[in-house]
Amino acid sequence: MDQIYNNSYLFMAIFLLLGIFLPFATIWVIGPFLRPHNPTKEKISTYESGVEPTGDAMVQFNVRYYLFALLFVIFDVETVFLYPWAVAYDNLSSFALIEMVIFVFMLAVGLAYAWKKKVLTWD
Amino acid sequence: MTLTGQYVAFFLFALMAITGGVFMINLNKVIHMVLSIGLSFFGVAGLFVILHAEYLAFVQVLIYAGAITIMMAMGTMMTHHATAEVLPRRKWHTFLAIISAITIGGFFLYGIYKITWPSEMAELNDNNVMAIGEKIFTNYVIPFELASILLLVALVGAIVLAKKEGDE
Amino acid sequence: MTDLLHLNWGLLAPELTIVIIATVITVADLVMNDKGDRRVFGWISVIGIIIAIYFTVNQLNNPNGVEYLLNNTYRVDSFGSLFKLIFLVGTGLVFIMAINYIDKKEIKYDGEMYYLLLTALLGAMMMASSADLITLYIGLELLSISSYIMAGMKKNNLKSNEAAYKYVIIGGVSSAIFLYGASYIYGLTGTSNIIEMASRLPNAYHGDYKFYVYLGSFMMLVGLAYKISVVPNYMWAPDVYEGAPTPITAFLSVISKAAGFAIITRIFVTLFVPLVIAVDPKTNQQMTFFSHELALYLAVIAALTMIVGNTMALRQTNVKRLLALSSVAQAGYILVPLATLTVVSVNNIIFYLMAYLLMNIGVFTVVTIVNKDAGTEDIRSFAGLYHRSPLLGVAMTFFLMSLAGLPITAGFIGKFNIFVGALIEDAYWLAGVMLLTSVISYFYYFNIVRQMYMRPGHTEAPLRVAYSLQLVILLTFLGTVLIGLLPNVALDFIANNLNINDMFNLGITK
Repeated sequence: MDQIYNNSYLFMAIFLLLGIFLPFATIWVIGPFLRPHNPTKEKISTYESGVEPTGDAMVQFNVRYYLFALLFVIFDVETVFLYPWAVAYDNLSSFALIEMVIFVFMLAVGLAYAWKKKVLTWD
Repeated sequence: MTLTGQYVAFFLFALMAITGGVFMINLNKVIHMVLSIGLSFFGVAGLFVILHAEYLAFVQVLIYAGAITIMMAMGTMMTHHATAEVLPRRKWHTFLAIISAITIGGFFLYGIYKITWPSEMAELNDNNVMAIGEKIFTNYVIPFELASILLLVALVGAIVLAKKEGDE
Repeated sequence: MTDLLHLNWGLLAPELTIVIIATVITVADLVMNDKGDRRVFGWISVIGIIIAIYFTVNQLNNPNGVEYLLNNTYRVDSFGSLFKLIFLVGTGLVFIMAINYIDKKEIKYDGEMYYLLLTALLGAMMMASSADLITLYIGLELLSISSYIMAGMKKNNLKSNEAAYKYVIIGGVSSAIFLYGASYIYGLTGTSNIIEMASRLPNAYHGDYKFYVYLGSFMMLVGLAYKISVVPNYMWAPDVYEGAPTPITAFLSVISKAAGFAIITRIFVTLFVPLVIAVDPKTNQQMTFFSHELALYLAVIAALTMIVGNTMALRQTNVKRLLALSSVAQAGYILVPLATLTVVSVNNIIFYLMAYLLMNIGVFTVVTIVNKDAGTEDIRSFAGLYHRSPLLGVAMTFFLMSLAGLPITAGFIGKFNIFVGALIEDAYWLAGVMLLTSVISYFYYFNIVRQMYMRPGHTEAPLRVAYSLQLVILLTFLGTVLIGLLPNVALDFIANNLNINDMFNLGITK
C-alpha cells in the first residue's frame, strides 16, 4: 500500500516538474535554435500591433471586482462541502439530501441578496 | 535520518511555506505580498499531502491558494497605491517584535523537541473524502447548517461593507 | 448509523425559531420596496425572541435533565438554558433600542441590521448550548462576524469604519490563537467533544504531554479573552464601542460578553477543573490542574483587568468610551468567581451577568436617548438631564449606582456575592483589588451623575422619549431595583434551575 502510495505521488511530481520544465525548455533552450532572430523596432515594442501602453500598470480597479471575488470565495466554500457530500452520498440516509437542500437554500438566499443589491449587474 | 523521497518533499514544501510567509512580511509592493502568500498556501497544501490528508490539500488549493489569493489581489487593485509603500520603521518596535517572536518561537520549539511522540502511525482511512463526508453529514449536521448561515452572513456583510455608496 | 430523521429535533426549538425568523426577514427584506419602513422587522424579531424565550423556559423545567443531539454537538442543559435566557432577554431589549435608534440617513442597510442581530444571537445561543468544540467555534464565529458587520454599519462615519476594521483584525487574530490552542488539546485527546476530552485529558497530562496541556489551555484562554475584553485583549473595546451604533455597543457589551463567559465557563469548568494532576502525599488530597495552575493566572488577569479598566475610564470624556472601559472593568469582576472557584461560582457569574444585563442595557438606552437629542457623545451631553426629564435622571442614577456596586441595586448584590466568594477562597488580595478599584470607579460614574444634577444644560426643554424606550427603561429599572431589594428571588431562581453536574454529564438522547 505504502509503496503504491509513494509511487503515485512520484509520478505526479515527475509530471509537475515536466510541466514546469517544458515551457522553459521551448522558450530558452530549443527556441533560439529554431526561430529566426531579426529584431526590428516594431517587434520589440510591447504590442506589435496595438496601442503603446502608458502610465503605471497598477491602476485603481473598480470595487465590483472585489465583490465578485468575495462571492467567488463564498461559493467556493460551498463546493468544498458539496464534494464530500457527493462522494459519501450512497452511505448516507435520505436525510443528507434535506441537509444539503437547506444549505444550498441559505446560499441561494445570499445569491438573491447579491442580485437585489445590484452586485451582479455591471452598471 | 535517511534521505527518503518523503523527507525531500517535506523539506521543499516546508521551505515554500516559510519563504512565502517571510516574503509576505518583508516585501514592499502589495502584489508581491499576495503572490508570496500564495506560495505559502501551496507549500501548506503539499504538507497536507505528505500527511495523507488529500482532501485538506484540495481545500487548501481551492480556497486559499485559489479564492483567497485572488480576493486579496482584487482587494489590492481596488486601493490606490501609485508607489510602493515604505512605512517608517520604529527601531524600538522592531527590536521588541524580534525579541518577542524569538521568545515565543523558542518556547514552542523547546516544547516540541522535549517531547517524544509515539512513532507508530494511526490507522488511516484510504478514502478520507468519504470518511469526512460521512462525519459531516451525520455527526456534525448542526455545525454544518450553522456554517451555511455563517456564509450567508459573510456574504451579506461583504456586500454591506464593501459596496460603494450612491451608485444606484 | 442513527437515523437522523427520528432524532428529537424539537430540542432545537429556541434556535430554530430564531433561524426561521431571520430567514423570513431576509427574504422579506429582498422583496420589500427600497423605501419601505423596515421597523416592522424589528417588531417581528421581538415577537420571535419572546417565542424563543417561552421554549427556553420550558426546557429549563425539563424533567429529563440533560438531553443532547448527535454526539453532544447540541445539548440542552440548565447551564446553557440560563445563559440563553440572558441572551434572549438582552437581545430583545437591544431590538427595541435599535428600532428607535436606526436612522435611514445614517444606516442605509437598516433591514440587514435586524437579521444580523438575530444571527449574532443565534451564534451566542450556540456558544451556550453545545459540548463540542466545533459547534462552539462556529457559534463563536457566527456571533463575531455578525458583530464585525454591525459595528461598521454607519458607513459614512469614519469612527464606525475604524471600529469594524479594528474589531475584525483583533477578532481574527484571537480566533487563530484559540484554534491553535484547541488543536493541541484535540491532538492529545482525539475528540472534539469536550466531555470525552475531559475523560481523556488526564492520560495525556500524566503521559508526558504536560507541556501541551498548558500550552493549549493558555492559548484557548487568551483567544477567548477578546470576547470578554479582558487584559491581554481589551484594547479594541474603547474604539469599537465608540464607533459602533449605540444599540450594537449595548449588544457587544452585554450579550457578546455574556456569550464569551458562557464558552469560557463551559470549556474550563468541563475540561480543566476535573483534571487531577497529583495527589498531595501529606494530606492525601487531590490537586487539580485548575486550582493549582490556572486559577492564579485567571486571578492575575482579573486583577489587571479591574485596574486597567477602572483607571483608564477616569480619563474619558466620551461617554461610550467611558462605558466601554467600565465594561472592561466589569468583565474583571465577573472573572473573579472563575478564578476563585467554589460550588456557587457559576451561580454568581450568572447572577452578575443578569444584573449586568439589566443595568447596562438601561444605561445604554439612556445614552441612546441623550446622545441622539444632543447630537454628541460627549459626557457633557448629560448636563441638566435631571431638570429636563427627572424620571430619566433618576433611572440613570440607579443604573450607575448599580454599575458602581452601591446598595439597594442588583449590581451591589452581585458584587457582594463575588467578593464573599473571593474571601472564602482566601484570595484576600484579589478581594482587595476589587474593593479598591470599585472605589476608583465611583469617580467616573458619579461624574455623569454630577453632570445630570449639578450642571446647567444647553436647554431646559423637556426630553421626549418614545413609549417603547420608556418601556425598556422601566423594565430594566424595575429589574435593577427589585433584584437589589429582593435578591433571593433571583438567587433562588438560579439555584433551583442550575444543576452544575449537568456540565460533566454526557446526558441522554432520544
